[in-house]
Amino acid sequence: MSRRENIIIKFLLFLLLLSGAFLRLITGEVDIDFMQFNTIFTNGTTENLIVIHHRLPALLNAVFVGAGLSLAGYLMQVVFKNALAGPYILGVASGAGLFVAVFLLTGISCILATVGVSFMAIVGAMAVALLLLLLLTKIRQTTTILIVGVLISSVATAVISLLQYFSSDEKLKKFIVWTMGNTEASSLNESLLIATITVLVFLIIRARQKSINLLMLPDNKAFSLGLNVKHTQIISLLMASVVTGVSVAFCGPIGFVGIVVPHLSAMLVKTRLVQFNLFMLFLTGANLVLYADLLAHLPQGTLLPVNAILAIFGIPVIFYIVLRKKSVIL
Amino acid sequence: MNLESAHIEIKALQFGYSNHRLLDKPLHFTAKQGEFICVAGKNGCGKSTLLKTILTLHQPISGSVLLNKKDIYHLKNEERAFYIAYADADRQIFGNFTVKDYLLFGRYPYLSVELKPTEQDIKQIEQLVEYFNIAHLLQKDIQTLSSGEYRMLQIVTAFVQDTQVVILDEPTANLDLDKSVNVFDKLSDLAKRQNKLIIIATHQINLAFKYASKILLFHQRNYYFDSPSKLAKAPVMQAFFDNDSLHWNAEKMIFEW
Repeated sequence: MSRRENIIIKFLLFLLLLSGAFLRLITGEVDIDFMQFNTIFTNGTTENLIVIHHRLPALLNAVFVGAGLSLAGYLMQVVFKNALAGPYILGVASGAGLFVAVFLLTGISCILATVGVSFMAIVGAMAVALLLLLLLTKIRQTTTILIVGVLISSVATAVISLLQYFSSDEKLKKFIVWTMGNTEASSLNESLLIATITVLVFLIIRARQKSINLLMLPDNKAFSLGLNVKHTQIISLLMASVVTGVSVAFCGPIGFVGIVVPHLSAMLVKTRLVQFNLFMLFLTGANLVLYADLLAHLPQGTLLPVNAILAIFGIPVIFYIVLRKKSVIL
Repeated sequence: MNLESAHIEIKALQFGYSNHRLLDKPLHFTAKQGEFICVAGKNGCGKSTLLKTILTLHQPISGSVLLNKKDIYHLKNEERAFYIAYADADRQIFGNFTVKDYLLFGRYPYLSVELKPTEQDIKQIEQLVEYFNIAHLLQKDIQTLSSGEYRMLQIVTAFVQDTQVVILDEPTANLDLDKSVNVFDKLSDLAKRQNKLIIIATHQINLAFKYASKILLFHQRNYYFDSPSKLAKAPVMQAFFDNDSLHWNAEKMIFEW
């Protein structure tokens, strides 16, 4: 793709994101009169509550969880040199999910209420990421690590279902709603935390784009070109797991974004190199979740699960990846 | 990066895996710029392991590897990349790159975080593409290269790094005979003309004797380090293959059958 096409696509995606953001802020069950800026920005008014403390966090969540999970997926695919790697397949998200389930479904929540769901999710995500890293030093075959990831996921799911079985109706409902993926469950501060972490990860990837590109080469080759391979793998995986952790914590397990968006982005820019993908990952991921979220709000009076919508979009793309072996994306 | 003449000094080196030394006595040798050194020996004798030990990919059991009198293990990775380039057969690459894009990786030690190649970077690549005759591959996707084409790409990428020392692990495996001869010819030429120290591991003993300036031969946990003409007369050559139909011709310096 020529440089000009590239800029045009990014510009269009940016416009799409802006209009989506605008839509997300002005639509909803309550009609808001946007002529009255003052009331919206005055603390305590209904308008303020709806726009600033309800719709804005949801908007930030959609944009930055979408972008963040895309970056996380990209990093994981590069670290494991595998097009099917992603926060969910590798079990990192399930680790976060398991810790959240323990938090929400058992009595522990009273004791740990102060540290909160997000902390638990990050710990869960990191625990799995560290386990995978440990394996990466022992096993060179990345397929094996992928299988281990799938097994970790299964164990986490099994434990979660046991916890569900033994928990009260009230807690169970809270948890089930969480598993559906929801952008509206977090406070403005929590959304700002997700945004900050995503932006930080974006900037760190930008600053380390040379190292991350080298990770795509055979390890020995990358080493001979001056890369500290293990060091870069660790940093990349830790970044990916922190982003996954916070997004799982506040928005539930938003599947498919992490695995699908890196491929969409690579298909658009026709390369895997970081410098061409970074903005594209951000824009594609943000748009995908934002519009899935808008779709979820389309039926009046109810909220569809964002996860279901993303899966309906995501699964065809995964099929496409698996079936087109010699393509740009593998 | 052209300082004084670069040299590598191997001092009392024992290498291999924790409880499996590859040689009975420790290895000593010195190699300097302008030399083309072929490491030969049968499968599993430690050719690749030695190359990896020099590159610091593999910890030595004892002894040391000195680059310009300094312990190479004390160099930072980024620093070492200015002195030593390396290539092997590993194809575990993620993503699709054109050969042209891939060659630029060889310039990575010199690029800033913006990753914008300078004119000098481009020129360096173009010259080597022409020298090694791979211009026809430039637009090809590396995942579609044959193993021979991939070897050539690896060799060229290593030289793109523009280091004093170039280490290649079996650069001519998977290459046609004519291409292998061509590669040996070019390597010996580059060592002389561009004053590089080129160390390769190879199974092509006949070619090694024709083109190398020194040969490091591993045989039955011993090593022999000499110029081809001297090594050709050593008894080890007669004993090298325990195959009656293969015999060593010391005059022509080739194995005949």
